[in-house]
Amino acid sequence: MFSIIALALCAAQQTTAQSGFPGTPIGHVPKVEIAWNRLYELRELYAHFDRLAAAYPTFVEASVIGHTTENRELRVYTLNDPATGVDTEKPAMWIDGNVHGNEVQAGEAVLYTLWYLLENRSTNAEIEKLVAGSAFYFCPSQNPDGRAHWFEKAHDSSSSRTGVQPWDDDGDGRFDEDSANDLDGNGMITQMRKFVPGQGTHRQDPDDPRILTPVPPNEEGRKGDWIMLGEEGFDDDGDGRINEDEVGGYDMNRAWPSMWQPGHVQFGAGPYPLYWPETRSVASFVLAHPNIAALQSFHNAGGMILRGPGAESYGEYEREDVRVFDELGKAGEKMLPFYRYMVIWKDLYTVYGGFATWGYEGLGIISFTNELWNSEQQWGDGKNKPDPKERWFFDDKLLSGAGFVDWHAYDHPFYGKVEIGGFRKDYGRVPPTFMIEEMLHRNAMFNISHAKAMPLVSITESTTTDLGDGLLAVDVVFRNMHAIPTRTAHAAKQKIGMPDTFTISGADVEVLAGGFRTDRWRPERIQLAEREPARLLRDSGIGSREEVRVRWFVRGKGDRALVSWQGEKARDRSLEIKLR
Amino acid sequence: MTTIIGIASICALTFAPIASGQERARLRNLDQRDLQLEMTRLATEHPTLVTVIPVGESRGKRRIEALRVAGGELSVGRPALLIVANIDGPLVWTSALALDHVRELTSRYSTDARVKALLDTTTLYVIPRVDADAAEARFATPLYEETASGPGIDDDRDGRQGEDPPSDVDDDGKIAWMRVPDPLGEWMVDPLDARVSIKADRAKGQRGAFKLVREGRDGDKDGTASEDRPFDTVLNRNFPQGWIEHGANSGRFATDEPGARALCDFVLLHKDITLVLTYGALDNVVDKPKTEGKTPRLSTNPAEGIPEGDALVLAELGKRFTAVGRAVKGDGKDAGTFQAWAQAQRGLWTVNVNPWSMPLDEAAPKKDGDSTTTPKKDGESNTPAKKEGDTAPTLEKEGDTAAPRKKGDDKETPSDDSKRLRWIDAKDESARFIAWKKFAHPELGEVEIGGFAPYATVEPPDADRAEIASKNTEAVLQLAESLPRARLVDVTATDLGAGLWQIEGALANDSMLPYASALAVRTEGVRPVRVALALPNGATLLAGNKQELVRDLPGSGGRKEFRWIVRGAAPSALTVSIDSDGMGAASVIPEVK
Repeated sequence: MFSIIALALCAAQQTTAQSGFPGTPIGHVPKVEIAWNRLYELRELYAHFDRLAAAYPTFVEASVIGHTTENRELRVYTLNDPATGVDTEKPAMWIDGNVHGNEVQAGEAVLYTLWYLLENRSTNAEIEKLVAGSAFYFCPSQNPDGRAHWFEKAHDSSSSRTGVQPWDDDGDGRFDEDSANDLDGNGMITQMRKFVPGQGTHRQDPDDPRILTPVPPNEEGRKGDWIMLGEEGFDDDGDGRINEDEVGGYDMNRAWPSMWQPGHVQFGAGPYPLYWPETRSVASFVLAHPNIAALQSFHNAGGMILRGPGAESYGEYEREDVRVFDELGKAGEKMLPFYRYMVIWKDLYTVYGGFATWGYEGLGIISFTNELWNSEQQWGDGKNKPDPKERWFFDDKLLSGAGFVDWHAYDHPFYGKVEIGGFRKDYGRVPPTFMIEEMLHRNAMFNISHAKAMPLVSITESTTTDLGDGLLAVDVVFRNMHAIPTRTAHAAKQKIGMPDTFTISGADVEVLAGGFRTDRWRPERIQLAEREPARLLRDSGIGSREEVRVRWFVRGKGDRALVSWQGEKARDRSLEIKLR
Repeated sequence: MTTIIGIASICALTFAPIASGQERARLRNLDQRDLQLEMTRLATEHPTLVTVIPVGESRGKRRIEALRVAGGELSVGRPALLIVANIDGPLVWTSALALDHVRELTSRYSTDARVKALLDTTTLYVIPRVDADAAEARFATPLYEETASGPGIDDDRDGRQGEDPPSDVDDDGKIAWMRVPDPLGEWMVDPLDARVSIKADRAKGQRGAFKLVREGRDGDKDGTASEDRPFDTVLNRNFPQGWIEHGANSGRFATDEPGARALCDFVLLHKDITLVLTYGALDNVVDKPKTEGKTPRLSTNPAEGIPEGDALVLAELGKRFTAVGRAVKGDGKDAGTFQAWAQAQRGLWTVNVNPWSMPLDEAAPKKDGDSTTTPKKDGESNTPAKKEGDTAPTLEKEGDTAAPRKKGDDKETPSDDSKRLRWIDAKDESARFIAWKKFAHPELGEVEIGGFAPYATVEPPDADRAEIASKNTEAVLQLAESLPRARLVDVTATDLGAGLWQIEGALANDSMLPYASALAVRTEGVRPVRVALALPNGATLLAGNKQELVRDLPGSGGRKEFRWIVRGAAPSALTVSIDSDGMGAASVIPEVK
């Protein structure tokens, strides 16, 4: 008898597979299958987002927010649960990637986050709560042209960072006339080297002829046999320089309005902030959504969780806000091994006019930029600097040598006999196939932690005290349950956006005075409002996991009142309270 | 309706003395419609010289346009000068000033050899009005000196925006100032000159008696009037150089204002422009521009001051300008202005001229009882210490970065406003000052309304305008003549034997201005002049660079020499050429020496 029941139970479990993809391996099947061991060119990437929108039409809405130089669409996919209200009434997180066209896995990171939220919404209470209470704006790529070019044309891992608007890099009055050239026609831009016995700067590794190392300075006058000649290419415009004016040649992540500096101070910035159409379209969208309370902009590479300031001269961020950044950043380090939580100017380099720094400095939003993928994950231990030769070992043993284009002869029109070779564009700054999914999942969960921290206001206590002669004291406690304040200290100081409002109203209820209590125990300590006591304003909002106590003095025959909180970056809250 | 008005104005012109009537008409304040008509008229009257070209649109969808004035052949690389006017909202009259330069130059083109020579070799772009939206306030009733034209902010942090604008409380058709009695107010009547309001200095035992605010209602009943106006963003604070983030007048981001972006795009597109003359509140011709200091900053920004080399050149330009043209001291800082962007980020030669402000040098009146004082209206007097309030408040524009006016805190130094009032009295310009009058304000109780009338301190008397215009036309001519011009000179070929030719040439700049300012070199804002040698097939270059980019060259005879050695071609098959965006172009076959 026991065995029959056991068999029946086993059968039942094996036939019911739940939807979703929580990360535990058995019993769940995603509604939308996406292979996470690949990188997708732009049309494929957009197609995956469209599949998600089609599979979850109630929750996902696609919109075109602008067009690129080559007229590709800039898109935002909004995730919102309409059953709980419109997106603009909720705290929202903006997630984008790929403003640098070559930093392609950022697109997949944005996609994975949306996919994970949708897939787990109906089977996981935490995710359901998050989706019900917040909105998300997903921008798959801020630089669709750059992404498309990186996939379709010959590039290396760093090129196609730029957009493709013609730009005169070398001041000769011509535009984009001398890019790198795919001399050997293999679809890759690699390196050129030349054998110059006894007159070179580099020498071959005795065990592996693919590897060149620089000859160290020495007193014996020893030189190498090889010289590196740079990226594959020749002098297209005959001006005596090679590859000096590539397609485009600017940096759209230096275009943003906070601490913006022109091109001669900050390379690639352009002649004025938000000069390029992509950047202006994104900025217009973000400015039109003051409900955005969290921001992530994905880049590659290096394994970093970055926050501003981007420049030392900015000074330090507000102390209370730094505490929130630190909490999220340090948790992120634990969630993302090989990633370090860093301050941009101090720990990386100076960046004027970055997007995530504008998010905080200009808009008062807690913003991060994650640099996806640290190549040391392949061969390092996270502590010691790995031997550069490990790259070839890894490629040979784990990728069957697919990442390296071996040196081969070429007859260069200017340099004569050279060799062309090097690592492919999809090796180094992007993970190898089998490590992509882990990168995506960990970073998506970092996003989810960030989003969960967006403010949530709750009216937790209300008490009415009869002071006699028809006078009542109404005490209300408003709490922000989450780590991100309803208004960052920076927003409060710089008066960004609108102050929070705390209101009371009721039929036959007259509000005589009111204000924010400064002492939990001594009710007479109140910052009394000078006028309009029924509508109190607070530029500092409700802090990180803090509460604001309000006392109103009311009188009248009414026996009920409605107390409310309204703010830009959390859902409005109301509570009907009994006065008598 | 239009016809009747047309006839009437023709009659006026006929009966009045022709010169002054025409002058008054041509230098009057032009609203948007009249401005566009005047520009079209100039283009129609001189079709081979003048073209209307678009610049963009203001936030209020008004057209911003330029006139291109150019005679002769439009060759590539021809130098150009840009004149910008009415970039500060209240300086509406400067639109007519700028257009008058076009009118005068085009009318002299066929008879004045100097003007013809200039216009045939130089292009003039004139944008007579940039802040088209704020300018329209000049023609509105009630009259308000509007400085802003872009999105407002919640000035008083009450969760509402623009709910308490300035307004015409006493219904006199003008929005002026109010003195609102308040023990916490910072202002007091100037003890030296009762017509003036000054900030009380506690250290000197002075106490404030009133708040000084714009005339307006207290619509939101918060105890202050006119503190939250609908527009806050000032167009000429919305440019990227020194842009003040979160400033009250700065706008959401630099170039968010469509007019600012349009002007930047115009400058970027018209790379032939090497010098910009801006009529505005800023000045760098009367007062010498500040330098960076001895140690030059390496590519950092923003620098306080400009490189010393540029300062010296601008000082010379300023000296020449003020010798023939009319300019006065400036007012305000250049943070976020067009002028600062054009100079520090584009590296253009920028000449900033404030063509008129109310003079501060009118002599002090003689003591009481002297007959030289003319009788004033409304009990005004130009003797100091008069109690009845005819005080002109200092125009502390709300949220402006303008330097605060001086306090009249010393018995010997009267305040700037009292100096202005001296001028008003001496010139009988009483309409520029509204006598302080008590008024029962609907919300604030008894106040006084008065002060300088809108636009009073920024518009010259009608009678002075023609002279300013013609003097400045002369100054513009001089500026245009000083633009850098590249010439190829002494291009020769010497036979070295063995089939080798030595080709030599020099790049010369005989104009006053260097090719590029130090800022242009630093910012790479101006494309270098390219010098190139073209060889036929089969010839080889044995020495020298086929192409050289020359970033800068001094003016007044600056020279850079080039030398090549060529084999396998006769000199007649070679070409030495120069090309640039705005300093000329040329192509020369070497002459055999």
